[in-house]
Amino acid sequence: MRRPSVIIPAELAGRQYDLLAIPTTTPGVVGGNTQYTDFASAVVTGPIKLAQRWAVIMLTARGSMGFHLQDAGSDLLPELQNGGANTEADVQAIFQYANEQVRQQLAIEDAGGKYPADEIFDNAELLEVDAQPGYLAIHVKITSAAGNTAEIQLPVTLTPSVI
Amino acid sequence: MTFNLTSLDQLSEADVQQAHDEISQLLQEKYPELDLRRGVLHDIVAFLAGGVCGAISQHMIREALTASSLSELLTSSADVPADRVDRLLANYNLQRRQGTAARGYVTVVVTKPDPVVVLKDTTFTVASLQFTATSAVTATTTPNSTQSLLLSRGNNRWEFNVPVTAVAAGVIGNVAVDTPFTISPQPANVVSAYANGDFFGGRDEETNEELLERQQLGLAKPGTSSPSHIIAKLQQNTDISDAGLYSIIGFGDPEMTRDSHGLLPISRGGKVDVYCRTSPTPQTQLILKQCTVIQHTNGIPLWQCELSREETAGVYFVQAIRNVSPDRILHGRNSITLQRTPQLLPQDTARHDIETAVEAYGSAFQSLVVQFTSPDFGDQLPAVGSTRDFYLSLWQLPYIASLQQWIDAPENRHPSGDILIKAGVPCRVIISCTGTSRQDYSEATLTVISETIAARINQLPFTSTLYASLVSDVLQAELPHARIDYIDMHGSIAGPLQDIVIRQDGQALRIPSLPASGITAKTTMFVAAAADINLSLVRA
Repeated sequence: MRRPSVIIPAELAGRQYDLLAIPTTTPGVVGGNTQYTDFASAVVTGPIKLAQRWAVIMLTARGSMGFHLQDAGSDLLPELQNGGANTEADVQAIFQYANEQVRQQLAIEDAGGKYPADEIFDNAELLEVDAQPGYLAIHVKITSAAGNTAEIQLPVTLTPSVI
Repeated sequence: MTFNLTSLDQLSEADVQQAHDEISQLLQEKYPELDLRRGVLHDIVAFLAGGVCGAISQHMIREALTASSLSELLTSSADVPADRVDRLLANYNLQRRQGTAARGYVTVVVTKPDPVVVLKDTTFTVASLQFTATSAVTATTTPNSTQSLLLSRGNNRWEFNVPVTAVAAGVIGNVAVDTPFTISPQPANVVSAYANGDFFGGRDEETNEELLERQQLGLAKPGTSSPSHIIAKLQQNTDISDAGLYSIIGFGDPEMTRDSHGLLPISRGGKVDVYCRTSPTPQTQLILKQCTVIQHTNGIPLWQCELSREETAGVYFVQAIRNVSPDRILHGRNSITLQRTPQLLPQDTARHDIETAVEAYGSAFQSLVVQFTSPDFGDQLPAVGSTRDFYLSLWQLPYIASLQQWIDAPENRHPSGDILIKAGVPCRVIISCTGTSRQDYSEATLTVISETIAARINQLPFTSTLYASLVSDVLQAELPHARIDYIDMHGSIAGPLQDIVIRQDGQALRIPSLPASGITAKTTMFVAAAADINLSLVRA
């Protein structure tokens, strides 16, 4: 079987990458170790990969994956969508609680010691909350253990989706 | 046949995790540059596409394996869709018996001797059960060849019979004799309608458990050599209501007498008696017979009639004589004299060797001479030789004639053997249970329990012993707040030569071994009616 024609720059050799699913506000650096775009698809490593992982856990409703991943995720979306946030301070509090949940899960994953320092989580900082009717844009900065940062915008629809 | 997954909740966590781990491992080996431990690839590809979808595949594979595994079906047959069981057992040449509709005759009583017409598909109803007339019936007092007789019952009442069939299949349609019906549309002058005899032929569709049980019994190749082969052969007959139970008597068995006819009483083999339980219980059938006065005894006429073998297949005895006009029971069984003789036609003698009443008992080759007295003759003593119609109430096991005919067919019969189908000798069981209870139970509840006990007894194969534990098992399950102090059982065996009453021996009722009389554990079956099981509970 022919492998997909994704051209990986030489500086990414030896690193493991993920697919880009949540674009960050940090510009992609072609050829750098943060983001590489190959026409229709993109792969990520480094702090952007870390930020994406953090966002994936943050935006996964805890318990929704089920099975052996029953405990994966955070309570951010359920809390916001259940009307738990009336003020920005409420959003801050919910964010901090959810961030702590994510931190614990990432700490367990990072404990294996197999990740480079720029993919190990250190901190997440809530930079801004932009409230629109039925919608929140939460702007977050993720810092890795190596000190790199990546900024990411969490799109939060306040009306629960029905699947 | 389809395999369905109606909810992801049906998946096991172990399956999902295993499939997740497997796809992660495989992808990692093939593409070491992918990070499958966390992130989008982990969540979307490895977990959803690999773990969940892989577990779905595993679930379907397990379903398919279960559907194709006899041992798996035997342990979980109740949960398996019928079509899967059907598909697998078709490999064993077994087909599920479909439900069949009960049939019988309804006697309609009218107040005038005017001709009555009952149209085909006229509805006869009892409780919520519906039956329809199988054919149109025109009844008159002077019928031609296409009409039915409108028979006088006296007291300005006339009656005629209508053949009916249940609308829905099921054993529930096997209603008992004398069950009242309503008719729609109702013909003029009708005052009542009732079952002329026990209805029969109603059968529920075979369940997975019953079909699998039949498969286990039927693993032997159908044939006419060994007992298991003969039973497997008989199981192929799809006319039998319910799964028939059989007991095979052959060469060397003390019950077998037919293979030692001749100058020297030496068993020569080649004869097989098949005692059958073709229905859970024997049934009551009414037939109208013209009887003749053969003599006068103390000023009372002695009536006699003869029942040919076409009328007596599987018949045990005449349990009552019923007067037609006026309608009432004249005699119970004890005052009816029976003479049973083998009746073989010339073409039968090459296939079957039956010489005695014991040998012919319960088969399709017996005839009965019935005698009884009747003081109910009005002002004038009927002369010797005069005739009159009576209803005879027969107690019999169904399907004996059809089963005999089937096994005698050229494609089924043993080329050099003589297989005789016989109704199992009935041992009617009467049970009394006494106990104390901390709770009141309704009469309806106790009736249901009696029916449950009767059903359990009527499912027993031919066996030597009925244990009281069978009864106590049901009672303990159904009456958790009661303590059963005593169970009394006795049985009445309607043997070929005489009736024998057996009493409880310890905690069991045991069939005596009287092979010369045709009564042994291999010929006799326990029969119970709910009405004969009495439960008495005293409030503690």
